[in-house]
Amino acid sequence: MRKKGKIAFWFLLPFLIVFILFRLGPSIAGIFIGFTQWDFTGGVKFAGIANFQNLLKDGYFGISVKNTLCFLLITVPSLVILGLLFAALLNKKIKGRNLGRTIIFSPYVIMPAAVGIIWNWIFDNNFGIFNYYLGIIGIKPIEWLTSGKWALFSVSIVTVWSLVGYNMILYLAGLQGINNELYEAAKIDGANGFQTFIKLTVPMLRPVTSIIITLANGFQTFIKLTVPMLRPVTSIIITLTLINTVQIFDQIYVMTGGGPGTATLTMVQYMYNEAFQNFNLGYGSAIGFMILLFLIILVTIQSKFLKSEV
Amino acid sequence: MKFSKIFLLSILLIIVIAITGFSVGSAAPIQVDYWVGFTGPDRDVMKSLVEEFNRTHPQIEVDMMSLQWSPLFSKFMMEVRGGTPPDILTMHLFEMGQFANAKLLDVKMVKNVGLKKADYSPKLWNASMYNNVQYAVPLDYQMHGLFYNKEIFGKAGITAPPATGEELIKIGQKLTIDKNGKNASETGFDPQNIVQYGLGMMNNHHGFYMWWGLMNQEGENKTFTATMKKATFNDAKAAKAWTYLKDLVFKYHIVPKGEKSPYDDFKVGKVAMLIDGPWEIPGLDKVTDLKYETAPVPQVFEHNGVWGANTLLTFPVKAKSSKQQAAVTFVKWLTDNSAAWAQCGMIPAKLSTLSEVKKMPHREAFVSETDYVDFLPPLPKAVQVFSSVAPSPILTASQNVLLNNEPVREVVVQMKKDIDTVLTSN
Repeated sequence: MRKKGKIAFWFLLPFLIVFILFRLGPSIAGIFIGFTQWDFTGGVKFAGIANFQNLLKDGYFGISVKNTLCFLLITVPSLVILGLLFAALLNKKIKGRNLGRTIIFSPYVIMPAAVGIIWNWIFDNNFGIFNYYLGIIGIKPIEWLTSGKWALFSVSIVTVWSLVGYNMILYLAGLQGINNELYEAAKIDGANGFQTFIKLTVPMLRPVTSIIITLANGFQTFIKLTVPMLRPVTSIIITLTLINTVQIFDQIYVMTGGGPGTATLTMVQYMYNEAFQNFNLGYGSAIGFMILLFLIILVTIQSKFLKSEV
Repeated sequence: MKFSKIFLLSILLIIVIAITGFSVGSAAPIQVDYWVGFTGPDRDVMKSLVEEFNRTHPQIEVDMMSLQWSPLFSKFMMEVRGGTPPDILTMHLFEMGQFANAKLLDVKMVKNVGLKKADYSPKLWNASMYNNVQYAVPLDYQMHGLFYNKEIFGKAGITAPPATGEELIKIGQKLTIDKNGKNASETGFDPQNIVQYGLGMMNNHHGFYMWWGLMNQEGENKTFTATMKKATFNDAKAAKAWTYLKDLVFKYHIVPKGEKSPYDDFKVGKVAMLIDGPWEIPGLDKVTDLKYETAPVPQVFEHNGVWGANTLLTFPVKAKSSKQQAAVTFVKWLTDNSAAWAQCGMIPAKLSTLSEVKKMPHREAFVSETDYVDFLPPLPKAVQVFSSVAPSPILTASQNVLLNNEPVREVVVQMKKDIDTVLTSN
């Protein structure tokens, strides 16, 4: 057993080194930088809590928090419910099941920036394909990306479209892990399909649902797919995955740049802007720290709600 | 066995020589890192100039890297921090002030290029200065102009492009057609079903640039205090300029709301006119069935005025090395051969090139604006104020007017407040 542990350690070591050097280390350093004034060119000056005080007065930060919350309220339930429905449907032995799984999963493998470019054209007010078909059925053109009312919703549609396949796969794994004898027993007791789904399938999927909510909207790397499988670090992994969930950046940057006005300005976009466009590393890091707090609160609420292992 | 080992070693040696290009008695060329913000046809023209230089100067190898302007400066700042900035960096006047203020630009290297003031217009010469010190070598300048589709004009019986604000609206309305064939000035015109628009214009930071041009047309050129710490433009004039642009979209319906790419729309004939820069000329020339011409931006208010920018070549501060002389050699060569740069649409900075440039198709309209072109000022926080990404003050203002149809007075007040917040922050 000890020997197996040692072997596992050596296999994990390269990942751990990269993870500590490029993820954990900079994340911790970022917290300290949030207490400084640093503009790339000058020295690092200790600023105490000045950055955080300014954040509380910063109207644009407030807008970014509101936008991020709205974005999560639209995308997370959609991703969870649609992922479950697609998985439930495509878990049955029906014709075209494999093709269906492929079609739903394929947007997940497209680069987020490419997704943004494609959907920019689909959503074009005057010459985009969506408004063209709406026009055919007599609906006025919708200002998908150029109206403050619609822009955040439009970006949410794109995010759900690109990520639902990932959740479907996780739910499929969960569904296939449910013992068939339970369904047979329910059938004998007279339960119909809907009753079986609600009273048996959904509760059995609670642990998977908790993980999926945590993983929703995360940015896509190989590590976030395989890492949850590693039991010893599951609790740390779930926390890190929720950090990624809130870090939606690519599609918004490409499609709207945070506009129109500030309608799609999210916390991560604002952090990037302050740190790398305005060369205000201290303030950008302070925003990063606030994102961390925001995520801790979210993870705590969702894990208490679902009574998961986290 | 021994022979086969010798044979294998010989093959290996030949491969190594081929890869490294080793030759007895020759030194590797000096590599000069040249970073540019050109990402369109201008990048291709600059690349060909760099290749020409490298071919004729075998002791120097200029390595060009191109990025969009905002990420270019982000990368530059990070490399400065890491101690490896490029040898030459392109930028505009308004960015130069910020980097000069941060002592990131080498003044001595500019002197070594040996520029002559008489070779440049006073406007461009002064636009390479910050606090009366020359920090950069002028390469070119560019400004907004009006592109118009000659075929669409001909079909509508219009013989000349608009020269005033009123003409722009009238012609724009005549060329904005709904699905029933009515134009925007006719009764029964349906603004919800327009198939062709009169004018295409950008609603991003270029919306602010158009506003800037109109402010200058109103004679408003004291937009910031001398210390550049506060915005001081006249609110009434600012509102008047924004209102003109807003009305083109919401009152006269001649500009599509939320237009993603006016340039692409002009190429396919969806818009009859376009306000854009000379950098679009090479791309438009490639569209074989597009017959177009250019004209100066119409004079809407009392004076002539148009937004413009100038491209500058700067030398970031770095440790002394032989690369610096090589960088100076390249920049000097580039300025001496800048007439070729005009192929990308930009107007080369040297006066001696103007007569050649005027003869090139579609250039004359832009050259005619050079006397009254107005550049954005070199504010200490120009990169933040004039950023093209939200929540930059200029982008937010432009989109709040041109997309969100917000009351203009409120936008002006907020824009001023946002700019002042950036200028006075630490």
